[in-house]
Amino acid sequence: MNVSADQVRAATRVAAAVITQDTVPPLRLGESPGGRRPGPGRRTRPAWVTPLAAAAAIVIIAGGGAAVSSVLAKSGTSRTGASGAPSRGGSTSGASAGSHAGVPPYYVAVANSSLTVVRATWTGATRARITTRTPVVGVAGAADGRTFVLDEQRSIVGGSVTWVGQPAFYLLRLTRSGAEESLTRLAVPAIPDGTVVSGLALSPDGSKLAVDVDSANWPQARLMKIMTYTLATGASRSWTTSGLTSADASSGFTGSGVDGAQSISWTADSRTLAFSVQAMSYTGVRLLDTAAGGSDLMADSRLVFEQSFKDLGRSLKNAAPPYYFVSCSTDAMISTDGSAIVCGYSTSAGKTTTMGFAQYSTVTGKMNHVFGLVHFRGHAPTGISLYWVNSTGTIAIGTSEKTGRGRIGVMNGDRFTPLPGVTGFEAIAW
Amino acid sequence: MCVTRPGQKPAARQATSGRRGHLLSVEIVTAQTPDREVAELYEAHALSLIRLAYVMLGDRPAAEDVVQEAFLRLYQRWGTLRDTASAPGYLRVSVLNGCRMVLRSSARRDDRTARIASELPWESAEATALVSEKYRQLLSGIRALPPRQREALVLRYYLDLSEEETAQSMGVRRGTVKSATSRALAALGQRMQEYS
Repeated sequence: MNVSADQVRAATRVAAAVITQDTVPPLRLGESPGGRRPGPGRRTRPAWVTPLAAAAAIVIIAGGGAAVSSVLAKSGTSRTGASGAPSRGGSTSGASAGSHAGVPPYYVAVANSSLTVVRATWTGATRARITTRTPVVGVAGAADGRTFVLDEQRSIVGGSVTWVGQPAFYLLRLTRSGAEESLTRLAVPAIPDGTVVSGLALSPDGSKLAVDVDSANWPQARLMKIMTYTLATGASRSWTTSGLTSADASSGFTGSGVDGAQSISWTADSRTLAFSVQAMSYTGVRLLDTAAGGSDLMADSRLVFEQSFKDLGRSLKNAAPPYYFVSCSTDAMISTDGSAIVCGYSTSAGKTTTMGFAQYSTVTGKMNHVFGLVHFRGHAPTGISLYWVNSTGTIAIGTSEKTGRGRIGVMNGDRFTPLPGVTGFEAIAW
Repeated sequence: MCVTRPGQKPAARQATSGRRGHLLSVEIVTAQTPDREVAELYEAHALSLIRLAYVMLGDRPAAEDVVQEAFLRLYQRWGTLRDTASAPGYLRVSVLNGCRMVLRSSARRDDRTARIASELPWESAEATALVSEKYRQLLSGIRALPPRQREALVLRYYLDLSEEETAQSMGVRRGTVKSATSRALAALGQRMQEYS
């Protein structure tokens, strides 16, 4: 019996087709046990899931302001730039070069209730693994890409998810290679009883932490609060709002849960805080000058823009396409220069959906432009995740939704560069 | 690395701190390496290279390992590349070298292990659903070929390389490619005849 070249060609290609793009594992550079590089012909699969950094770090846990000050002093010496503020991306990888300048070299992600990982942005390589007894539910990053805050909260699940107990915040510092340098508990004041942390933001220079607090049991409680905490001094301030209707409170007025979605964000001067609001009838973004006086969250903040759900609903139901939907209620971030707000964006025309990001001027409240657009046939998911924006709000890290299969990557103009291995995390921050 | 909480064993802290110096030496390397470039190459070529290694080895985990190692070597040697455009070619050669090493390694196993291994490829539930019985027999036959004949067949007919390109890739003469493919097809024909 003869076997032809065509039969070999067909058989090998059918076999190869068993492997599809979506099953290709992420790239894992520099991961092997004990730093041993895999040799030719040696099965190295276990090495892929055993990061080099896993066995190599020193951990510092200390409570109180003295320990915090020590860590801050150390981090201060490593920062660069004339102003003393770190620039995004640092100098630790090729990520700082080219058109994606400023993209931070590492991200911190919550893998499960007991494991948080540090990964290299462009390769997905795990640089550190942090195990905890209490679940980490929120993460926020500073501008140097090496300073993060983790929020630990114990939770119970009832009729609805309710966080119980006080959150514990930890300052995580990474080495230049992304390994853990220190992990220090912060002495952040207690949050009010009956509230939960629903948003978290570390200022770009790592000096201040903003905590967005909402009522734990919607819609009964109506206390909404934003707290700021100065890491070096332990000083704190808070702004609250009351008198919200139960309908407004039921939506979780500010933030949407500590899930990595950036409902609050800082400008580079660590002074202005942008926060999103979502009531039953509208969604919008406001700016709070944390250096000014006052303690009323609404009266002492400035509205950048708002969108009425009533109008939006009308446009969706009755207006001829194209219409658009801006998901600023959960994912809105201010550029660190304070000039722009970036939100998720989607529009549909006929059967075609376009999704991306919209940039608004903080001065005029008008939409400047949209970017990071993808087009596909079908209906749009309603949420678009946004994790990081550059200093001018022109480059973002977020989810590119396509037929319901979102991929996290870098949006720069109309170019989307997917990032490997950024999937399945409960919370994530750059 | 683990977060040590009050009450945890202090030994963990000692064990981790002792290796910290090693990490710092790695830090210097990673600070100068092309994470983004290699990641983009992986995005573009990983699928085709894993498929190539899978066809060569018939073992998906091994194929993924070989490709991973190829990218790791490229990552480590990025600075020595004369032209970054040559990276895809370098990767293919590296993957083929890795496959040869795996095959040589498996050839050193005892006969029983080797026989079992030759029966395992293409038998996953996923593959069974997609690959017909006839093709599975053919693929098992390819898997049972001597490494050089198998490589010649894969390069010639899976990648559709010319005899000259195949010879260059294998580092042998063109005549060797010709004879290897001819013998491989004959051996496959005999196997298929026995099967039918």
